[in-house]
Amino acid sequence: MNKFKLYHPLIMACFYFSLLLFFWYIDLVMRNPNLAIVKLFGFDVDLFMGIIIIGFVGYSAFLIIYSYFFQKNTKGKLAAFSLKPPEINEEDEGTKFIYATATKNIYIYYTTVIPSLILVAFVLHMISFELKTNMLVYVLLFILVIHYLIYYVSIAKLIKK
Amino acid sequence: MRNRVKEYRARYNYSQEKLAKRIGVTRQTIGFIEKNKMLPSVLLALKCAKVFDCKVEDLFILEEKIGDDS
Repeated sequence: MNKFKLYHPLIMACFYFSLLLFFWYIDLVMRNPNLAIVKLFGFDVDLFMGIIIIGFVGYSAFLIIYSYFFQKNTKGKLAAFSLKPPEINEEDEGTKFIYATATKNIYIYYTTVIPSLILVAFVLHMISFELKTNMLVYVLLFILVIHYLIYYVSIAKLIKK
Repeated sequence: MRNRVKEYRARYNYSQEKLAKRIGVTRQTIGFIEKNKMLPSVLLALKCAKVFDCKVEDLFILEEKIGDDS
């Protein structure tokens, strides 16, 4: 298993986690505009604009680097916008076994997390808690981060043993 | 099931890498087979036996008893 395929779930977990933090900060500033500017060494620093620029440059750079390594490591086996993620690795029996073990763990995760979330959403609805769209985005991103971490840990455990 | 892949590999002075290359799999697959984490397919078992010039039963030993029909 090449390193790109091995670390791909970890890269995606970090990507979605950074996206979670990015959205959370933008959302926070939108609701409290006074948090956009911070005082640093006596100067007013526009943190909001800084984060937006870092985010834009960072995500653009990530997209370029990711696309490069994606093409290089999948050797044209997967189309750039294919729905098949690179961690689905079926090179041989060993990698199929790794993939089967990891996806089994992911399946267990979803069969636990989705009914739990349905229950939480139902309870929140019953107590008339207003569920905002931004919360939905955070929850979905968080689920995705955990999903990729489970995948990575499952692979890493099998390979290191 | 028990297997003697590691033993045969040592006898032939093959590294996991070399054996993997000869039978067309990754090194991890050999590791999984040796550690009994994964059962190889019939095709892979036959390939291993061919490389080591032995019978499949010499490499892979079924230890559990199979109940008879009666």
